[in-house]
Amino acid sequence: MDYADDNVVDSSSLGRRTALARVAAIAATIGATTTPVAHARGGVESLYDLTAMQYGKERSLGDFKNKVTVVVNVASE
Amino acid sequence: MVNANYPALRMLYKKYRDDGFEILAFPVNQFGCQAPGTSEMEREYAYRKFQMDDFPVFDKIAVKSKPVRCKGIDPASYEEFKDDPDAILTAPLIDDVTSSSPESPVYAFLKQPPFDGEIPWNYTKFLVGRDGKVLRRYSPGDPLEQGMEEDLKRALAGKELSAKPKNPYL
Repeated sequence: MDYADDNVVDSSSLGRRTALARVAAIAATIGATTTPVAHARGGVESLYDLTAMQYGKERSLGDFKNKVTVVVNVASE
Repeated sequence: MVNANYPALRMLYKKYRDDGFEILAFPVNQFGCQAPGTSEMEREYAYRKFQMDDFPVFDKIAVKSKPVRCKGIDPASYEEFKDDPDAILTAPLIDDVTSSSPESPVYAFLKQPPFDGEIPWNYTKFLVGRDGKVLRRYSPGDPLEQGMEEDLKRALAGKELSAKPKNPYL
């Protein structure tokens, strides 16, 4: 009886391990699919690696490298 | 309504620009369609409201992840209407492609966790460090009430910001 109970506990813990392994596998898959999404943002590490349009021309934000900046969206009304 | 951002950001700029502080302004016509002018008009308006014209105001962009439909002054009529204070009433309006465009790469970068969440209104602010990484995000309200000066001083000195923002931005 005790032996049988041990077996039950064993198999249930094995089931947990299997479940955990599956969760890990799913997490790895999600990781693999979200990496390209992060990459779609350019894998950009710094604001100063980007460009923005000013006076109709592309300006490198590298002009502000090593500065501290506040970026603010403005409007007129 | 008094907009505390103009005097506050101007004060910070005058006080800290020699230490390496810059303001990067982006006109956006996605909040109540409140930036219907051309980029040139919105730039001039910003210069007037901030009472300074020695900081970069970029061309109009989109900052929201979903497009917004707003009208704007046809850039083709800019020359004709650029000095007309009533241009928004009299100049031809067209669908403003800057309001319906995809989110700009600049804002896709700024809005990464933990600073994500849709931009709620004009004058949302992001503090960016010397290494180009976002340090803190501020709501459209008064930046001084949100501790921006203390944060800015620390960032300029290369120090970590205080652990907790004075106001959560949302």
